[in-house]
Amino acid sequence: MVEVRLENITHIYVTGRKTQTLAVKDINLTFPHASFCALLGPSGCGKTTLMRIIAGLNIQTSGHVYFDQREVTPLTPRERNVAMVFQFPVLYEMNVYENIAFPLRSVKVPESEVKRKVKEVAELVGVTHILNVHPSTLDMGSKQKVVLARALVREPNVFLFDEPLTNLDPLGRLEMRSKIKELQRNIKTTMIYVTHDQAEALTLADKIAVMDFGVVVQYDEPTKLYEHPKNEFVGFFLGNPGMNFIQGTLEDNAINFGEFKYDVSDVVEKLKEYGTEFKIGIRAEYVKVSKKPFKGAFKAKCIVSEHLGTSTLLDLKAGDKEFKAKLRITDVKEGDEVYVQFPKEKVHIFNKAGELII
Amino acid sequence: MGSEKTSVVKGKLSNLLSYDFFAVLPTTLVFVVLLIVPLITEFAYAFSTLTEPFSLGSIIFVLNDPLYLWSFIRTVIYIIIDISIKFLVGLIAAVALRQVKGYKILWGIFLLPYAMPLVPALYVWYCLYHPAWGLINYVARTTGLTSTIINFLGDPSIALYSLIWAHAWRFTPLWMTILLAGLHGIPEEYYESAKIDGATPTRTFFRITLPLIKRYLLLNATLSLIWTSGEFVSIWVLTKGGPANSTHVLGSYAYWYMMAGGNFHVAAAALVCAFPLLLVLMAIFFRILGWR
Repeated sequence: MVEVRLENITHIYVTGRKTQTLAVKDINLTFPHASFCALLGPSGCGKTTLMRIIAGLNIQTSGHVYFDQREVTPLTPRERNVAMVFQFPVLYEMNVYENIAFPLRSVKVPESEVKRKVKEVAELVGVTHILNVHPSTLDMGSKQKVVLARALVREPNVFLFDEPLTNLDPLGRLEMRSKIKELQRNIKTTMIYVTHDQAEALTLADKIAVMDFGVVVQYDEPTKLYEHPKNEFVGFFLGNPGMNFIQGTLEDNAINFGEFKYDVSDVVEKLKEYGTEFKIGIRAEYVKVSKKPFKGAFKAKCIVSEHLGTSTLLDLKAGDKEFKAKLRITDVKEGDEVYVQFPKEKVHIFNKAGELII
Repeated sequence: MGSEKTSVVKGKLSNLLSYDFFAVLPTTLVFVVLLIVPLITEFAYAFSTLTEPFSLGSIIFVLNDPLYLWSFIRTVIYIIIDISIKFLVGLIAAVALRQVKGYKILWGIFLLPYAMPLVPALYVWYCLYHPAWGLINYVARTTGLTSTIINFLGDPSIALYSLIWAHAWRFTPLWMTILLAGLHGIPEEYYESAKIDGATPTRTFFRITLPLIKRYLLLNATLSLIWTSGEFVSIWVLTKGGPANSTHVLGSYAYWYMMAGGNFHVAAAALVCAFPLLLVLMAIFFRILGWR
């Protein structure tokens, strides 16, 4: 139960005699105690590096890591008392019981205590029935559960997950996801979860730090990230599909997209400070679509219609602008002419570089 | 109905003759000609003598021959010491190389003994061991380590061990290479996970690394066992079984009876009687290393 605080963390990998890579750059983050936070970003954004720095597997080039008030930079992973679950299940060549007991025996916990604790976490994670089994005979999901148990048995200060679901099949992934969520509720330990899968981050985390090119772009609660992305990257990266971004030019009191216009008369003064080129962003599920004309709607053509089970995803085109709409029920087919409207309260305006203005 | 059934059977039979049969024929022939026939011949020789076609004479002869029993014992000693040296040195070298970044150059150097043809490689040791002008004796004398000359290959009490060392020297690089491949196959996460779990380097090595390369050790041990149990070249190049028959092992014993003594039957019997040894030792290895 600690608060993890990162202060001005920069890490540079020396990759060759003269080449080096800047992995993370001047990062300041605080993970509140007993919270579940996710580090989300595309491959190579520095999220794993950041996690390894928290674990103590890498020592940052500059900056400080604090657990509560204590600086832990000079401490080994063991001294920091962190637990880590890797992408693929790392299980040692010994049976499940011994695997779970390994960290305890490493620090010479009395055998009776080991027995009690192993039994306890085995029940918690649900691996009691396979305690005497050799891991090589287990499926990926069970293996990862054993790893989870081994991490839990030490009662760590901080729990680190490095894309633990990536190697599981879809069913195992769902099961494991709810297991992790359940654990988090029960044991109340600070958990930090690295993933590139936005669905995982959105469902599991209390707070998400979205990373790109070694910096934290936005650190917020999932709903806020989803509804109010700070820039185009966050908007597009979160959600399935990502937010629609349509570029246009400010003319009079509206942004002109060629075939249609978006009225900005109420904020035109503010927009003028940012030039004339703007992007509007709207989530696909907020786009209003109808086959009949309605007030404020413009015409578009449906190019692709995909059925997703509970909803339908339409690829729409108006002039040379393309965007997506996600609808619950619709009879729009490919090639149909439709009427579209962007509800004012759901539209965000970004400048040309993709930074949020309104 | 009946005729239909027979036609099905007939169809199968003709299929068997026309295709399946010919498909497996080459493999079967190779197997029979190269494996079964020589093996049967060997047993046939073992269970006969120069004068009698069916007899236990040769078997009884070798089992009563003290030299055979000693050769047998020396073979076991040879195998155990040889594998121990290769195991220890090979493992230490592999683990050390695993830590080095530019390990490939070092690995190439370490591999040199194995890259050399066997007879010249052993001859290197003949030169090193030589009592008069061998390097080892020279160094031992000039540094004052010993005042007497050590006759590595001429002293019956140490000749066998000198042989074993030369042989192990030649084959350790192979062990090292295979173990190194095994070590490189262990993902970095294992070591990181061990570090996080608070294991000391020693504990990590014995509880995590070693079990993960167990199958490579077993592979090495099995191959060594098979090759060394019939060891002949090192003996024949360096001592020819001498001095005073003190370095005869099964392979040289059989060879000596066949070539010098001209008795195929005794030679075959010597090897047939050693068969159980191989099986027992292999079972022990499998037991120790717990093949999975």
